[in-house]
Amino acid sequence: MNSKYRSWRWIAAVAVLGLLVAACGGDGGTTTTSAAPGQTTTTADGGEGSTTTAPQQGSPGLETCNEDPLNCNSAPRAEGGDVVYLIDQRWDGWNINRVETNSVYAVQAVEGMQVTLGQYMPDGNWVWNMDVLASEPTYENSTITYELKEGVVWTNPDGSTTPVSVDDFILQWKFTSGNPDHCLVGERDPDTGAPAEGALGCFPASTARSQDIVDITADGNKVMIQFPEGYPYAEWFAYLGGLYYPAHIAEAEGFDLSTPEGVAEASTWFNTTVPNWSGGPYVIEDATLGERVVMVPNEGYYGSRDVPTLDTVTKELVEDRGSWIPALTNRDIHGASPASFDADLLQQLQGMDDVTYSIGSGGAVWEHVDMNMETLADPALRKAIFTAIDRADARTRIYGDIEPTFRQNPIFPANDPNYFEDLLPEGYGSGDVDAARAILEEAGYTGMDGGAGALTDPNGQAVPTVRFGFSAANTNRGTFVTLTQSYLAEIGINVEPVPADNLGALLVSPDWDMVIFGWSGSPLFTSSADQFYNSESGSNFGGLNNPEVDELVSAMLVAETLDEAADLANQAVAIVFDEAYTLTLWDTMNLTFMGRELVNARDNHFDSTRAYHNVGNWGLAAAN
Amino acid sequence: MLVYVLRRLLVTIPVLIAATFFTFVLVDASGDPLQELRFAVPPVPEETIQARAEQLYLDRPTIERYWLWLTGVGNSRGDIGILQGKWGPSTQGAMDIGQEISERFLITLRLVAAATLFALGLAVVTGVISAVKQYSLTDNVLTFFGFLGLAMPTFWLAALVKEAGIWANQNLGTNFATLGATSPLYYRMEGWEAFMDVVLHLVLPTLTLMLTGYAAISRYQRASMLEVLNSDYIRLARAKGLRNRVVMRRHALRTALIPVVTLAALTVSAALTGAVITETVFRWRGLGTFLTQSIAQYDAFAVMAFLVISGVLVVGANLIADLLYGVLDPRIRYD
Repeated sequence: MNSKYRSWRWIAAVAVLGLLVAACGGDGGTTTTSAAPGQTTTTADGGEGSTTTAPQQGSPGLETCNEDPLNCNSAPRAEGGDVVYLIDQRWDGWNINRVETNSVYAVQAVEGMQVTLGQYMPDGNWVWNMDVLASEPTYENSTITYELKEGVVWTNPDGSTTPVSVDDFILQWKFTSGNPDHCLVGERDPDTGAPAEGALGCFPASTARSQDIVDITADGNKVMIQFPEGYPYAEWFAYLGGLYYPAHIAEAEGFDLSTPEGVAEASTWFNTTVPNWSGGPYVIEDATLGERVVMVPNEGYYGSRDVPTLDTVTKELVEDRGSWIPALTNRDIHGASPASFDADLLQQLQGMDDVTYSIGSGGAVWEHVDMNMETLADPALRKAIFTAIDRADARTRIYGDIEPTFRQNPIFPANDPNYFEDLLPEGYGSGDVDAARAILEEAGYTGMDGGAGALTDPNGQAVPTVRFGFSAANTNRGTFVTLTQSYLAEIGINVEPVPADNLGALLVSPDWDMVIFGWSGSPLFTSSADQFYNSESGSNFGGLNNPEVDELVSAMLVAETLDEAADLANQAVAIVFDEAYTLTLWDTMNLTFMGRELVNARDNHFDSTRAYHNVGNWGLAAAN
Repeated sequence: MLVYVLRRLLVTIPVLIAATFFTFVLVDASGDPLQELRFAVPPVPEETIQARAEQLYLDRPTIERYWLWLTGVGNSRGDIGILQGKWGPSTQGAMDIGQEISERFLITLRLVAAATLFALGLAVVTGVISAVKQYSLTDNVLTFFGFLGLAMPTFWLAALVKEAGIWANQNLGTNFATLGATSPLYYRMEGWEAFMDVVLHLVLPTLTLMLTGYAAISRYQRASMLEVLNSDYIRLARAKGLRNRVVMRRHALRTALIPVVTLAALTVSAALTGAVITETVFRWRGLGTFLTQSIAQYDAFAVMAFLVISGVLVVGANLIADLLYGVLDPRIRYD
């Protein structure tokens, strides 16, 4: 009995010792990301000629990204290496056309495996991918024409290749047209065989423009997307940034793409199937939905730009903001471009020597205050409120050193390279109490210097408490509302904060006089003003009703050129500001941070893929 | 005993139904899963939102949705009805709730099992030592750490353990993982390398859960051991001249373990609760993170799936605890 126990003790001791040694030991040979600077290592598979230069610590860094957004952090790359980069929220599927999947996180998850036709670059300009295109696409006679290069291919799961074809464009169209004759979700009428009432397409997140396409045809290597005759389309170039879903893969899976039912099945299949094909620099080797994607170089990649040197790029979900710095310190991740950040995170980054970061904005998301035009009907009162609010003071108190860029135009950010105009009326957001009081006095108000709640209107009635709505989950907005209480007390107005658990429900309710929230947009602007300010729009929450604005924003939708559309947008914005309907505050800033070993990665504020936009060009810094 | 077990199982049915119903109503009332779609820029077509609502059964009243979730009766799509083995559609896109929860269950089980095992082992040892050396320095030190463990919030302890792991990696050359249940390239590994990858990812979260779990059991073990050591039959054993080691092992410890062993089953459910936080901090893809992400997405059917699994586990653990008590203590019989 005793000897048996003794044996177990020895076994246990050896096991514990083994585990300790292993814990303190090496890495197993395949999972570490870098060797010491200047060393030479051999890759794990030990293939022929596989000696590589070890990565060198100390990339140029991201510090110059605001001045040189296209080239910052550029440096020669070492061959090989594994990089893990963060995705900060889950993604819910693989078919980014579908409404339940479409998000920036899903787009980031698949970035690198698509056939890229063109994209917005970090300087805000659209650039065509001439690895794919033989010539720059055109929009003439209501037709977009793409001329594909010879040799542009999909790499199939078995390693073979198939040329990109017009069928891939057509499938993309059918996925997004919302037309039940293209993709049928629902039943057919038993009598006529036509899609029954209420049937629709493949749950598209957006049918914009796709629903208007008349036909897609091919002529040799040219693909023509035909819109109705005389169709005005100023932003035609951005209709299709890339192709993700090869028609031949769907057909090989048995889906009949000539029938709406077959397309619907293919759409669902693409949403639930990890894309292990590729038309880009990387191909997904392993993935867990919403959690992790491991990409390896696409052996069949045809391009000359963004050719990978890394062995793997892993996109890793880490939602908990508190985990980012520990993960970076431990190099469980090498970098991140999160959707939001706070001063605490920035402070921690500033204390790390081997990390570089950049803060900037493409103006895609911005904060603003809207008025309820019914309950705050007097323009003088609205203008006085906007004048009394001190944007600079609020920004400093909320963001400290981060200093997000003031928003001076709701449609175009200040760094828009083409169409920005500073249209914010002088005085708005200045915190000029005297000017605000003068506006009120001129309009016949009294009691503006008597403290919160003392203001009376020209009829001698007390001005009711202003109910200021905001999302309870957003502490910055909560702070802004609190600060506004003190700003407006200076002109005799009492403010009651209205925190809401459900911002959407609050916005569509009449339960506020002022509200602060953010709009998310993109460099594509022609439909934004219509959505924000058209009196018929469901997103015109404050009820702005100005026929002149309606006319301008409707004209924007059918403008033939971007210049024309931008001019109309700026005219509409000037009127909206004059109505004192909205007070733009500041852009939401983007933070990107990474270990200094990672080179050629940089943020792209104009593309939802952010730093992933040039993932093929990432690498570990080469030794000097 | 069989009758007793059946009776207990029957009693759990209304308990589970009541728990699932109230949870369903609360999750359903907490928010609109389609809120993001309604305020998207550019706007999502209204037809698509409507179709999505129908797909998720959001166009039905709450009571009807619950009935559908429970029975699947009155629905032709065949994707819902827990009694038919259908978990229902998820608001989280392409996620298959059944597949997701079965994968995550195994991951959480690994964590909970390891933590429970180590927590029990440590608790028994420290509890016994504390009792045997009552009021000594050792007892005071162990008592101090016991109370410290009890007082420490799990999220805080997890963050500390994580920081300690990173410090050890940087200064001692260890290789503890702080993120995920496995490395990104785990799928390429085999044999010892794969085993060690799992172990190195398991160490820190297990330590966290173990420390939070062990403290209470340790105090329990100490009290139980003290009670036994002061009993007459132990005095008799000593008076008969038995060696101290024999008295401790054969007579005292064996009896003192009875309440702790029954407590072990309940520790599983406590560890499951702690795993929600631990998994979040260490970014494990387990049931804990499944619950938090499902709540955040207003995914009522997914939350229900978690509730069913955890409910069955807790009810089962309680039942096992009761049965174990009867097995270990001959004075207790179930009729």
